Amino acid sequence: MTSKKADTVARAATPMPNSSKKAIPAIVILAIITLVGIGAWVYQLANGLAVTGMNNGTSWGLYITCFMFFVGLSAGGLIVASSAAVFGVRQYKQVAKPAVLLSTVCIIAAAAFVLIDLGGVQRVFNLILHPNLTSPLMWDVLVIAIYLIINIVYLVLMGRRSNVASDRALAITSRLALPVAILVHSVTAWIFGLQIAKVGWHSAILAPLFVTSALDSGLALLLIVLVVLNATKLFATSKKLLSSLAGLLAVCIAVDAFMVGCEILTMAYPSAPEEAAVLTLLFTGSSAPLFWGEIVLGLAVPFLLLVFSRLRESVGVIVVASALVVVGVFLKRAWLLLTSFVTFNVAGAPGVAYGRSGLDGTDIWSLIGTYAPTWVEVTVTLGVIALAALIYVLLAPRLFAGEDGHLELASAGAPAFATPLEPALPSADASTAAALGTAAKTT
Amino acid sequence: MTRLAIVINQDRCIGCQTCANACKMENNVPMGMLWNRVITVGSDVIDGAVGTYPNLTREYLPMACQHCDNPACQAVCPVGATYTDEAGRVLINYDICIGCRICMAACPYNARVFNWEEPVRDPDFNYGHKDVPVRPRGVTEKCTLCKERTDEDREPMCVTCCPTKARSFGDLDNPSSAVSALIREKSAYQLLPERGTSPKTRYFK
Amino acid sequence: MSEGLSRRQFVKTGAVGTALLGAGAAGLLSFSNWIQEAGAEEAESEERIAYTYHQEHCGGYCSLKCTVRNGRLCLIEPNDNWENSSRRVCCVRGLSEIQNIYSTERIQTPLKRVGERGAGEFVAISWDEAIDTIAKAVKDSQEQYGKDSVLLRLSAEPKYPLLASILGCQTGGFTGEDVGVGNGLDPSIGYVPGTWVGVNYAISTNDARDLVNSKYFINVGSNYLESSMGQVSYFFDAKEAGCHIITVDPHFSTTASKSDEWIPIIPGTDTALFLGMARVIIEKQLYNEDFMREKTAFPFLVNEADKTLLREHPVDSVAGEPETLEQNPYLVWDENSGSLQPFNAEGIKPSLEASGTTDGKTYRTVFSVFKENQEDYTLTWAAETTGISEDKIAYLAECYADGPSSLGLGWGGVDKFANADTVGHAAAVLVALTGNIGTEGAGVGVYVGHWNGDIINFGTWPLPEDMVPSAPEMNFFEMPYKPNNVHVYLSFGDKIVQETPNLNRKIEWLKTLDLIVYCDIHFSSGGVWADIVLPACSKFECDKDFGGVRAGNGLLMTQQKVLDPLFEAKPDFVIEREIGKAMGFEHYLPKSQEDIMEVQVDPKIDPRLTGITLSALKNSPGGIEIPNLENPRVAYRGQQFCTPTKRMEIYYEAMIGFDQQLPRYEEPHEASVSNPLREKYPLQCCSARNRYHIHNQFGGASWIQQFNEPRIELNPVDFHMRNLQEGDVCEVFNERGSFKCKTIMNEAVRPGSMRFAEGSLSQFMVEGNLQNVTNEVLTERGMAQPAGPDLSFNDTLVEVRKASAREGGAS
Repeated sequence: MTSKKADTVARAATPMPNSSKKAIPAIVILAIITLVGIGAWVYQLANGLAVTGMNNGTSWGLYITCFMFFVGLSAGGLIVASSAAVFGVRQYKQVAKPAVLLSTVCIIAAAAFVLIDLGGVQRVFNLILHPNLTSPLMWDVLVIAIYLIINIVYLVLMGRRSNVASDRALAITSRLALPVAILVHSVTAWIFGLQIAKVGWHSAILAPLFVTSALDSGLALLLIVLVVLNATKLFATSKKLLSSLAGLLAVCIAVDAFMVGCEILTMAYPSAPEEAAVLTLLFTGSSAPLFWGEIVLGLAVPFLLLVFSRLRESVGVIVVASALVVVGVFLKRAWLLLTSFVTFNVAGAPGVAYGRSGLDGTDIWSLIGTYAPTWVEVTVTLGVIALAALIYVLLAPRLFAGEDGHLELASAGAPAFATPLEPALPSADASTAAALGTAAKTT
Repeated sequence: MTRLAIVINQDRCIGCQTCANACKMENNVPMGMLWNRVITVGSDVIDGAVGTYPNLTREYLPMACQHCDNPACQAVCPVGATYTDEAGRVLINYDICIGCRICMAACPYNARVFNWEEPVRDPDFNYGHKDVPVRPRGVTEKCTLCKERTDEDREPMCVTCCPTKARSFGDLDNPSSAVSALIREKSAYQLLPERGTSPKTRYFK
Repeated sequence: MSEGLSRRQFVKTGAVGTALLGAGAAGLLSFSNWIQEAGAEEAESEERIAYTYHQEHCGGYCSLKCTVRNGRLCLIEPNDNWENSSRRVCCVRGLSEIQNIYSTERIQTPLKRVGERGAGEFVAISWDEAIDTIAKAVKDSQEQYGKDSVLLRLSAEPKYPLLASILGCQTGGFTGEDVGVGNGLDPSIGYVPGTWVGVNYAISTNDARDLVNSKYFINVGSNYLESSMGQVSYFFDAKEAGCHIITVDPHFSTTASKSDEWIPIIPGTDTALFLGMARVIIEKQLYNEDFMREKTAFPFLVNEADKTLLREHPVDSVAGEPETLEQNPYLVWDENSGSLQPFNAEGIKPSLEASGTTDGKTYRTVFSVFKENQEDYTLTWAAETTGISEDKIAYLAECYADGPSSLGLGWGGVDKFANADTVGHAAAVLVALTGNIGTEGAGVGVYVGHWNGDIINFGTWPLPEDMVPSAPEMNFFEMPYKPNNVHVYLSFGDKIVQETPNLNRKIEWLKTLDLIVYCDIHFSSGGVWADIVLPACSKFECDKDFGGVRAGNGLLMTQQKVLDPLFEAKPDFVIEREIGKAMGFEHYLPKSQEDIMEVQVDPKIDPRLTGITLSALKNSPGGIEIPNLENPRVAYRGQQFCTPTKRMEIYYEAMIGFDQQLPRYEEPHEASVSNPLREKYPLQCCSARNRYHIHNQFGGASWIQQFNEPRIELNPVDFHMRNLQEGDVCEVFNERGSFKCKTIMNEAVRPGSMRFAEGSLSQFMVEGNLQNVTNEVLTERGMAQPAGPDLSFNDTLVEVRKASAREGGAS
């Protein structure tokens, strides 16, 4: 029980861990991007969604793509963390804190994207005043709210000293978190999957597909974050664990690819015209760069990188593969969303009016759904991502700075995650050393 | 019950877009959007044709909200802004709409338009029926079956103005109405029936 | 569109932009300045209903119900006060007025040219200055060069009934438009009083409401469903009543697609189709012998030597006046008596195929000569010439002979070819062979427009007897090519460009004139050549309670005041009066439009108006339904024709000098298939009419532009052959000139043709005007025809090429 005191002392002595000081440039940069993003959002509020590339033909764009993407990133992280608790995968339990924090900031980002996408954000309270429970979007609002609460509770509980009560609460939370994490992404999938208007979306496999994509993208992002945390000495993870997680990622990629394959085959086989139109867009049309980008960069290459255990041992390979998976899943979100807007169910001139007054004459019409994000959307999106990163950077030192990584590594008898960490050890500041020492003693 | 509906004789439709502008005028629809338009089906140009000269066909399809009996847009609206009124008209409460546009994604007919910008009108004032609500930026809008006219027992403006009298208006629940008779006698069809939305708008050739 | 200049922006910095910016500099561009004042008159949200009529030039004669709120036109609907639902009509153009009358394309104030002619640089001036300038120029010119040194051209819509008389100017002679087919058809049937039938416009003998009675409607070269929107219902009423509609058109027009059958034809070869059909009718003996014998000139006898018709005694060429038929009737061979008899003798049976010799003259019947005439025109020849298969031609002939059938003709297609008169003449022969005329369901001519219904004659304002226009020195279309006395050119409506093939030649002539005045509602393509521009009111604006009266579609309609004049525009009546006043003739002129209405609506002039008082008219909701006009017109009932012989006079003695006494096929002047010019200019230039415009009107209406903008249309075959991309700016050119516009492909356009909407406004194109390339040919024969030659806009060959990036930079 001495550890409690020592820990308290250590923390008291380091209001701001050294590693956080190192993060100051990052914090400043992220804050600036966030502010610029907010500025762009204010501009959008002042001028309406006309400043985006969205239009009546393609009525959702980058924001909803990012919404899907971040829900997935969030769910993926939490599923890894909570399944560790639920199924007692002890080694994964170590990364629960960074994972849950990651999940939390991602779901905040996802919620932000939905709000930013609203044309009448000032009427958003109508979600509470006039809820329509048949709407998958309302389901999503509810599930995201619950999910966010669970994430926060999870974080708070993990921050507490371990005792019977808190462990029990944590166990319950993690058991709740897992299905909610799966649900949150399933509901997001249902926003699209339940829409009979668009053949590219209307699919029973969409929810499992979204969950799988969530798993691989969330896990991939977690891996990247863990490596960064290692590098910045905020949180240490063993190479073995990383390698193990990377192995899991390879499995997820495989399942994801399988799901995509199932979906594509089911659409393609009957050669029905509407489905064929969607597939043509995917294979050779305007969505082809997104689709093949995902297949090659997001599935094939990372899988090949990670499927061999020797390659998996390289942190560099893991980071590259993970980054590719994250990008790939982003591309998948984009093609899934946008491709179904391209072809109108009743095709023919004049088509659908864009919804902009500034266009001349017949230029108001579009024969197909077209979309390209504007600088406003890109800036706002970067701002949201920066905000999420900022929250992570600010909260990470407070939640798990220099904490248990090595402790658990040591207890697990695993070799220290040497390469990035070892040269750093001698220079580790006193408080960290003290904290480590204290922890070691406790064991 | 009342289920107001428009039944369109496609053979009489000449693609003149009179109904499109009649609707735009009556409903104070801003520039850059329309609630109603006539599509030259399958052609990339208005008044184009399908096939290869001289083996050509052309089909005009007036397209606006289909006022579905099972409106996909209504089910998905998170705030219940889209609703079906007692006369069977699918309407939007612009005060509630939060502008999420899930209804636009849900509509198989691309019937809905969104106020992406502060509405711009040419001429620069509120034209049309005086009781038509002026929609703010950030809400979705679409055909209301000319609620303000039909509430006064008049036909929708597109029906009144159609030069070929291709459009009929009436109550589907009244078996003796002209529209009910047309549906019976002409086997008037619904657009994209496989979507299960069951439009009240019917077409025949 | 965000990058660089949009097309519209480009336009705004171009010619007309400058014109309007000239006015804009005076703070006039924003219309809200102008309508604010009107709005102040009425309480907030107070609504007022007023009725007016819309343009008549489409033949629609729509009576419109207008809602005005806060002094602004808020709603246009069909006037719903009519019993007859076919009168409760409006169209996309009428509704577009909601924006069009407030458009920045309006001429807002009088303008004076400050740059070169054609540069489009103007400054705003006062009405006083404008009127004084015009009056002074007219007076000076007429003093120096004579009365006819002033030319007034009025388009169909502006109403200046007294102006030519006030000015004593010349008015330009023949119309030059829409008379091609009529020149060939109408002389055979004659003018029917109280209608437009037989006045050389080929107006259909029965009106469109009668198509329901036809078994077949063979519609050749008319895009009926786009030309006159007010009466499109009749087409479908007929179709639903079982009339089998076949449209012959080079393009897959709206009408073609709505017909039961579409038969494509090589442009300009319609005569060959009719002659081919006639051949079938003769060979299969499908003709109506009784009709031919009793009601046509087929039994008349042709003198082999000089091709004239045999009369009772030789025509006394010395006589001052031509002999009447009573004095010297045509002769026929009477089969009953076996002798030559006057055609109108009692109890005779004229032979259709007699021949013989009398007084040394060898003669044969017109029918025999016609059959010989037809020797050249075999079915194979007709099929080759028209591109229509022999079977189809035979089928058409059989359909037409199996009447009652109606034969529809047009003003837009072959009417604008140099050989158009032969089309009308060949159609007349088909009618004469089959007797498809003068009964229900059997009509011939142009079915478009409510001129088709009965026309009402109005009284005219009396002016002193010596106050008359000058005699035309020549036809206006000859003026760019022949020396003439014109020094001042007044164009009310855009006659400058609209009626002008080979515009570049006319511009050379315009440059020699002392003053060009252009008066219109909206700034049209020709305005840039004017020295003084006057703003006229639309049909929705007037200064007094009533702006005029008009009859059409069975209605006597009033133009009530919907709005006060917008901007600084003035009603036609006021402009006419102000010019008259400046010329010093105020005392002869009516003081108000209502004075004229008093004179116009007069049962003594037209008994059909009996019982209609002016006060009843004024108190009516926009007009009164004229009694007894509910039934379709069937002209020549009992097959009594309005020709001297009361027969169909299909043998044109006046055309003997041109070998067109019977219809002889003649290749198009320029756009013939065999023209060697095709090597350089392979595409026929089709100046098409569409539903979005009435010639040059409505092209600037933003509500119209949503659906229709000037576009060069090519069939994909021609499009790809030139390696074009969608939306490329192309140049259409020939030796006469060129124009540039965005280009699209449309499968409905005939391969080998370039289609472009006539009347397209230059300011919405990239450069130039359609009229820069159109054919100015005038046939010698046309000059000898009753309505003069017809301008041959469609008889034009062009080539299309991609404009270079710099040239097409506006896109």
